Amino acid sequence: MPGWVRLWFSIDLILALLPPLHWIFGVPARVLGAPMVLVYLFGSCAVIAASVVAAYLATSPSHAEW
Amino acid sequence: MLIPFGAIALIFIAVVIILQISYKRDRDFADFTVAGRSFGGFAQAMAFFNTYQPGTVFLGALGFIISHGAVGIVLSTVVAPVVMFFMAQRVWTWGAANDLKTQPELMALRFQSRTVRVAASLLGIAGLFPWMVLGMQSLGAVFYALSFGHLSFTICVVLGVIVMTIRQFWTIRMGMRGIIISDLFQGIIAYFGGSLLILWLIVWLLRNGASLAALPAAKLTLPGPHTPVPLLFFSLNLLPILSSLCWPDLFVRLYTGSGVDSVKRSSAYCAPLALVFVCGMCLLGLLAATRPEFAAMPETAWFALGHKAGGVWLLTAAGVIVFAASMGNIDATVQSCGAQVANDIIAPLRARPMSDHALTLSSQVAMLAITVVAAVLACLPIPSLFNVALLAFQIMVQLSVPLYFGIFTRSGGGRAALISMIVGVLTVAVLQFFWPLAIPWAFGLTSGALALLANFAAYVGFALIEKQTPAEEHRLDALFAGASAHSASHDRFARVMPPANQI
Repeated sequence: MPGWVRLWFSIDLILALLPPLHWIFGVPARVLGAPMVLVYLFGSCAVIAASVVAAYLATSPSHAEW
Repeated sequence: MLIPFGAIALIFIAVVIILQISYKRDRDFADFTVAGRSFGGFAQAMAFFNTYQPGTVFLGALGFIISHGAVGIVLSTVVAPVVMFFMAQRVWTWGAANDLKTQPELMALRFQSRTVRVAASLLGIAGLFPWMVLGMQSLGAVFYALSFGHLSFTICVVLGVIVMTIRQFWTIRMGMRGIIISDLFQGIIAYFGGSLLILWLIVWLLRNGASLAALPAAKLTLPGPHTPVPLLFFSLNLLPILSSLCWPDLFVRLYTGSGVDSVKRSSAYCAPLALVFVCGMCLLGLLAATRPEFAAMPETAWFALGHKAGGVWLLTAAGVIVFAASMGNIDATVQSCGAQVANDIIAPLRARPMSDHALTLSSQVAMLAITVVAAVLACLPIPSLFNVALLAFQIMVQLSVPLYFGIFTRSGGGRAALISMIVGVLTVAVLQFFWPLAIPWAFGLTSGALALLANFAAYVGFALIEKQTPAEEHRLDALFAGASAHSASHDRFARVMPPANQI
């Protein structure tokens, strides 16, 4: 598994599990018109989901079969 | 009542027809338990969702978000595919090379311990069983909502139990192959259809004046460092993430893939679908919380939303989606419990090896017994069943320490694995007795999370104390090198069946 995939997976876990991030971003203040807590949680979900797709595309040549 | 119940009947008949058409006699016990390791990425992705996101998600999880706001948004469904991707290489390779069929069997291979195998199997079954009873009961909620009050809740529960019990005939007959084929059909209905309905309901709420601006600030706030439970959100996420691939019925999915590549591909299918499903469900819950008619009955808001937005037809769609999701989950639970009873409890405790036929028969008898007992319990008014299920979950997650240590490191042997599980389970039992929910003096951690610390310390402690023999070191070197060598040579195209057999 390439190093950047491992790094991205590590970032996924930090985004999902690091309590200080929950405390800092888990507030109703608005960012771009949306509650910050949702920007943080939905943004984290998007980063995590993208990491799996990127990891698959990077490690499997058979992705052309999709 | 005719339209919703007719739709449920049609879905049930369609599943049965698909199973009858696709029936193929199993060649051996491996065929029965892991479907001959023959399925492709998409079928596995649907099986993953059917197992990890039961029908209760549409009721309980949505209701929790409506009641409690953003703290109910759990990221584990999106993180679980990462765990699956990360584990795919070693778990699938060890499974195919050593004909592994269950999670306890992998632990027995890694730790060379029959006691670990039996203990892991018992923990897994204990963790799954209460959820199976709850799953059967949740079908009662579906039938009750669809009956418009014409049937009593008790009759609806009994009806749900009868339907699920009949469905298990094909699970017992066809084993894992039948489950994955039906999961494919049910998964498309429940998670693609479910996601579409969620988006429809979000648009309907927005067009009817619902707005996040109307939500109280408390529902858009995670517990902070100055609250009594600053680690509650961390705990609510950590346990489901760790437990994701600990659920025996989910873990065994890794073995049903036709190769490492198909397991990884299923992760890549799951991740974007989970993103849409989870974020959509959360947004729907938060928007619904702004409307008093849904906030007043969060547990059944899924049906109320459907009925209000699209009358009987959308209510029917909502019911069919929960029905499809529940059916897949219960099937998987029955199958994995039955397989573990035969493969990891009866077989290791017998003096003589069991034949494939005897293992399959034992597994089928165990499935039948588990189904009947669960059906009877589901019809009884058992108090605090949900609390029992939560306790079972906190106990089951104690498998994660030896499982992940065993898969990813060479440190620790059978004694470390066994002691760590025992320490974890005992710690949960004691803490849960005094603090059934978050533990105030532990900053809001749950009993399971705190027990994981004790479990982890016990494993590491014993791994440091207990020196492995040179023979064991050599065996582990060969085992881990086998997975790496496989990685170098076959990772990308590893299949045990020709590509044409993939679904």
